[in-house]
Amino acid sequence: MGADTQRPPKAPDVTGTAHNALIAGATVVVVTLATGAVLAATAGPFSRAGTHLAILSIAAMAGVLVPGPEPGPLAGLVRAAAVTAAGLIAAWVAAPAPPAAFAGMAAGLGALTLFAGGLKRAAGALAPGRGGGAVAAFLLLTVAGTAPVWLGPAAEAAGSTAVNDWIVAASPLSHLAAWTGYDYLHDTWFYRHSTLGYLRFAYPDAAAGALVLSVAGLILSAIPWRTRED
Amino acid sequence: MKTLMKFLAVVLVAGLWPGAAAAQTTMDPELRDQGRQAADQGLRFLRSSQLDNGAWSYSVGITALALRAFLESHNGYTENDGPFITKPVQFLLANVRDNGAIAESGQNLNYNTATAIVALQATGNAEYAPVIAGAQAFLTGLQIDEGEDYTPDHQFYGGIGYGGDERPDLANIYLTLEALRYSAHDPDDPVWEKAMAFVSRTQNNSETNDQAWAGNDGGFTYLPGESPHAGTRSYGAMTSAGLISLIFVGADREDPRIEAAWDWIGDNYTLDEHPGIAGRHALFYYYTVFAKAMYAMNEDTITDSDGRDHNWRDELVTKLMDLQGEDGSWVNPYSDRWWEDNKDLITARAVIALNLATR
Repeated sequence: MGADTQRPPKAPDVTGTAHNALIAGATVVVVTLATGAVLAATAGPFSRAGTHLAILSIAAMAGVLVPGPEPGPLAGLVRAAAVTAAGLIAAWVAAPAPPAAFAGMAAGLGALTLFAGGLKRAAGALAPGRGGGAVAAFLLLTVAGTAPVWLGPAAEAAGSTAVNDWIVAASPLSHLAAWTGYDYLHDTWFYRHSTLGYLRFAYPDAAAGALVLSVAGLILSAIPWRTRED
Repeated sequence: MKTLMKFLAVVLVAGLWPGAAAAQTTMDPELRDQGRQAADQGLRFLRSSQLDNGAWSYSVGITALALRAFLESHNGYTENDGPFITKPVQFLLANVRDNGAIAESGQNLNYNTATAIVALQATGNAEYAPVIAGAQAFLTGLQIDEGEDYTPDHQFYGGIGYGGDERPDLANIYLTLEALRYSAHDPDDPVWEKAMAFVSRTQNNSETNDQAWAGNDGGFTYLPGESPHAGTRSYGAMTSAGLISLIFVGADREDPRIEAAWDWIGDNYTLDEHPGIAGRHALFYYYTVFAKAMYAMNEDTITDSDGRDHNWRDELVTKLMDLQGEDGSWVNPYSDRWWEDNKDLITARAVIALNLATR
């Protein structure tokens, strides 16, 4: 009989996961606060809810771009928690609000970050080059985030409230908006560029959206994708 | 003096409301009867489309408008007339939120609350006074001012938006002001003066608008420096909304802002399309706010840019009758934007306009 050539299972790299999460969190705080400061300087008085939505969106996208693999669901959870904490810190610095508001935002940002992490891992299996997964995930989230803009004409043509609702729900911004309470589709820029502002629609249910995003993210993280980092 | 002016504004605007004495008009009496019949047909349609819980289209705003259409009808409907009135009232009351807003969801809180106030006030039932007071407080709390770190020189100062933290606009603040006037809100509340500042900043009238973008055609834009249809173009619905908003906040007839707006309406008078907007979008929204503005000005006739006089009552009634469907309903046949494909909403708007035109 031949020698057993199977490799022993890898031990969880706890130190590495924690280190990675800390780096991600610190990077997100810095990037988000810097961007928020630029926004505040250029936009003038900014609504609190609008500020929160902007900060959380930046935090989520920054979390996607911060280097480092997504090694699995548990490590992904830790990283998502770090990015979420970082985003909330930045949101609180930019626009303080009662704690209850941040509990909701934590759920929204946490869910989106989980999903983004899973998406990044899946995209890494398909996108070429080191960091390709991050770039691909960033682009996919950007396309989804702007769905109410580029799908607006289709929504108007369809003439269906259900279609409007689905298009709105396809955007990660809508899920963050549901938690921050900011009606972003009636904000100046979106109202100018998206016909959805003229139509009847409903934002997705905050809790349901968070659940769907979290589960999807965990599933994507759990799948043993073959990535360049393996 | 300020209080007197505001009191006079209330008296003037009170003419909009049911129970007030009908103004003397030059309207064709036969056309008035036909207009009232068309309105009755619209109300019959609304009876047929009413949901079991008394609401229309599962919407507080649409329900409130439909209810208002009934309560302001020449038939003088009241809660004593039956469930088709009492049930929508209960639907509105069932959607009162902890913060005083009246809405079935977290969206469009200002629009829904403002239209609900008008409908509840129109019942004349003093039992609803606490709800109305709470709703008034919610609306005034939406106003953008020092509380949100805005200074009086900011273009958004005094404005009111959709009900959250979003930018304000004239369409929303006009509804708020209407609701507050209709429900006899405190005439000394600073909300009026602040609103005056914002409304003035949406007018293309450089004499009274301190914004650099302001032109001089006297019409109004959607929000300071912006219209959703093109740049800073004035258009029909907002000009009527701006005019009536000025009346609500206490400007008198000789105010240059009102005169400029009146001139714009005359110079751009048409009921075949929405003046200032291509595509006939928001046509019925225009008809309704146009009727409110014309009624508030207490003028039956307006002169267009060619010097022709138009009896707006006769012409609006004729136009609405032309657009009415066989089932008594209305929709905008040209555009679905701003929910104008919704029969309940547009029929309610058309009936409200007919009620004013035939009063």
